[in-house]
Amino acid sequence: MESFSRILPKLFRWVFTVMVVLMVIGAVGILIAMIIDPGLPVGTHFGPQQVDILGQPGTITLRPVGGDSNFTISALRNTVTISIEKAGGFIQVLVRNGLPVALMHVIFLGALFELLRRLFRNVERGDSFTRQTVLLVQFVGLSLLAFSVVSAFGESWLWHAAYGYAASHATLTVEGKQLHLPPMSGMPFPHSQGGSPIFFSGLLVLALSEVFRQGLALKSEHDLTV
Amino acid sequence: MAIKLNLDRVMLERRISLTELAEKVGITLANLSVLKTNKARAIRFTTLDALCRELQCQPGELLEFVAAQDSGDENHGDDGSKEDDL
Repeated sequence: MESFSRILPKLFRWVFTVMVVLMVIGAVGILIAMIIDPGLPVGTHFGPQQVDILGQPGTITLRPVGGDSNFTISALRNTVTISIEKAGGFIQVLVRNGLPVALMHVIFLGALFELLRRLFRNVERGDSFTRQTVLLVQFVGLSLLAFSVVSAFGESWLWHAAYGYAASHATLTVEGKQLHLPPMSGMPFPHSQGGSPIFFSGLLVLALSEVFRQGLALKSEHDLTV
Repeated sequence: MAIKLNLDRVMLERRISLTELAEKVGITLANLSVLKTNKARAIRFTTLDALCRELQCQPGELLEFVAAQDSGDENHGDDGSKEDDL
């Protein structure tokens, strides 16, 4: 058990090193994609592909129309259909708004993994209670807090852009009755699926940084006790 | 710190070196140096006991209270101490 607890910091350090490398590769990939600015090629078609939606058979179809494509999802035995005209434009919206948000996530995760790598490196060396460790933990906590707010706005912005396009190009058909999505009015309201847990995790880490600070004080006292 | 350790003076009187004393007391040279240079924040009774035994002296000969010169001296602390603003 003791040897396992000694191996654990080393293991975590290696895991976080690998994660940092993966995040760097991911960030470079996203940057390249942003530069290339990919779009849906003219004449792209797909399906109809049979899929399982909410436990019922459905289909997904992408068919070329004019210089673009129409994207159609049929579900619940074709009783509900969502059709998006000019799907290429929708892809563009997702790419142009989604890629920066994805890049932000990847950069944040990369920075977080790097901080954690340094933290576990210190722990591996036996320097758990040092000023550098206290600052690292504080920085992790503050980063989590900042990221929860920034990502909420970023994801909300993406959702707003996607919904804005869908509202003018998508048609919902229920039992043969066509419905159009209402236009979104006002500023995008920050909403994030994972924002609250990240925010509270940041608060918890900041509280832990105070524990580390007190640990540092105790260690300093102990080190200078002869 | 208002408590001063007069270890260097007593060592000089007993004509004993730092290395020799560290070996006899059973603490490292580095720790004894910390004591000698008054950087220590606390001393264990076991250490004090060993020092008095080897130097053949009383604790009062080693320890001296020096009143603070001014209020600024009282706030001097090491990294991580309560007095520090982190």
